[in-house]
Amino acid sequence: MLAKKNLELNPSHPTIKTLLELVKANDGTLSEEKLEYIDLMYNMALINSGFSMDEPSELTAPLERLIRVGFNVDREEPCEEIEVELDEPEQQPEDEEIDMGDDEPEIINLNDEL
Amino acid sequence: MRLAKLLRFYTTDESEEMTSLDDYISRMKDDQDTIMYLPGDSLAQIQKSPILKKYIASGYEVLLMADPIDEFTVQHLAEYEKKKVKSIAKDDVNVFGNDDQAKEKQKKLKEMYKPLTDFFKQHLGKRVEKVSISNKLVDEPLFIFTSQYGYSAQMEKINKHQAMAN
Repeated sequence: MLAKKNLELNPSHPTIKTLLELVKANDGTLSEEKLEYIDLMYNMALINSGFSMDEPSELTAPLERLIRVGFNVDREEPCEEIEVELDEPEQQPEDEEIDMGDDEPEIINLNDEL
Repeated sequence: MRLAKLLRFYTTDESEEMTSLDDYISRMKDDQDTIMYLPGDSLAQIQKSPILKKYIASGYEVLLMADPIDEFTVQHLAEYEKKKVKSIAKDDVNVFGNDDQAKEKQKKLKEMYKPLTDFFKQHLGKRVEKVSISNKLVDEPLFIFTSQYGYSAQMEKINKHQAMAN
């Protein structure tokens, strides 16, 4: 059995005020994007009100797109692999000695330090 | 329920100590006829609940029920010492705006916001039972209260977990 949910809107909240104007101006038809924000608001209210969400991605996927808006990235821009220029692999002679460094390892004499 | 006298709860009172219902009543505001509580998962979480703000700011004390058994206990306690006992997460607690002026204002706001409440109702469909204009919110754009008849958010959660365990 589920709880009966009564949604209450805050008439003093700037977002709610804006939404009222938006709905009036568009005769109740909002874009997909706006509807997604409204669902996001609803899901946030669910969590704030102590409910648990069955499907966390319903919250995180729209949030990810919203973060893009915050960073001025296109909401729909797909991920694209970055082309990286690779250096031509050099042919190495097979029996070349590997240079381990000529320097003598530095020996720290603890007595000197003291 | 004779044992009700022995119940102790944390509260929004600054003391940080648990209180009895009798002590709570002794501190109630003159216009207050309801013992109010708020259930949740933990004390820290309940204290941050968006709906507590207005009660605290208006000087009302609310009992904080962080133990799952708390709510099951008090829901059988509709009244105590002739005071109603109610959760502020339910939609039937109304301590704000009971004077005529506030009621008139609320009516006007309701009319003004009708296009938006209609829109939300139509868009959310079966997800909600009702959409209305609140006089209980401070900073949040919206909040979901539960009907006085039926499950609370907390009970719905416990119920879901039990269903999964079976």
